[in-house]
Amino acid sequence: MKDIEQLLKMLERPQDYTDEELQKLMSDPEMREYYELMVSAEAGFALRKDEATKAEKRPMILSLGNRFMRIAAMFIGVLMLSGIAFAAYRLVVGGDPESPTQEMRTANPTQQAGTLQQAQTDPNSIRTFENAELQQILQELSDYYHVGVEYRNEQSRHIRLYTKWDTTAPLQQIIELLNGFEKVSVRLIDNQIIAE
Amino acid sequence: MTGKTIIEQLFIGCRQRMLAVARLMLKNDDDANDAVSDVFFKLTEGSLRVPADHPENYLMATVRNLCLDRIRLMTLHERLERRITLSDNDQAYGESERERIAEMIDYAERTFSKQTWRVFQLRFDEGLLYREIAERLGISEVAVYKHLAEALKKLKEKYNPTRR
Repeated sequence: MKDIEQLLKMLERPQDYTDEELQKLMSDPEMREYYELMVSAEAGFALRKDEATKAEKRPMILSLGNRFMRIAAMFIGVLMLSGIAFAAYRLVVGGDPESPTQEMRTANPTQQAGTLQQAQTDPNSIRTFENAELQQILQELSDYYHVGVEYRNEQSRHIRLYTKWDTTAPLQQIIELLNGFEKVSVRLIDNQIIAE
Repeated sequence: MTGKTIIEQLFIGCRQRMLAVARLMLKNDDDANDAVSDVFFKLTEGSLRVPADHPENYLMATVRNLCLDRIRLMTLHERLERRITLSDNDQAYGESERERIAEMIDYAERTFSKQTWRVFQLRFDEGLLYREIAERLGISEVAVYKHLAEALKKLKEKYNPTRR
């Protein structure tokens, strides 16, 4: 118990200890083990926060690192309806304001044209799912965007969701928004929606 | 699809998850942003090539390896100050590891006494100093150490992070 207390004290103020003292304490396998547990505990709480944030459907806020300005700048307009968020975004690469519309399409060019340049979403393009099973939602996405669906976890078919689908949005964007639900994990790979 | 388009889509689809892992590993937002940016910078430069199969997995593994490289360059002092793992395990913070960690917190919440859980949470979730925890809960600093030591012993009985 004394050793754990010493470790706890050291971790609050490691700057008060010499390299030798730290080396000595951390060379004890048991102390290392306790240390790793503390690292894991912090990480575990951080993971919980991430999950909670996803579940709250907060609008995406991107903090761009310096280098990101050289790679991409993403402008996101978010519309909140009944607690459900759906985003329309515009991607500009290398500071060049070229229209990304052509390049961002995933499967069906005609159905998505113009989506990324819209600042607001046309209410007529919204499909509402109320307490719908994931398999129903993915089937509609599959038909609409002409992609396949694969269930790697059969139980995921029956997850029920309240959500809105902006049919003018690119499929990748819809996939991102679905992933915002805590229990949903879907990916788009080679024109195939994978539900896990 | 052009190479640039693929990178754009990966950027949209994977960046948040990559950033979350980099933050977990490096415990610093700026460093995490830099690590993720480095991956996309290398992709745009062409020094990294995304495989056709499972590109997301490749990006996640790449950012994890990059974080591990950075961690390996840190001194023991730096690692302890940020409370970064001392393990050089390449699988650190992979998907199964993240699941294990999340499960560990659920286990703690289920099995710790109310007061021990509160102390544990104030320390590792809110990052309070021991003195602050003692003041918040109206207990002594010694009691804070005891609750934390008890919590860690219980976790050690159930989990063994150095043998992962």
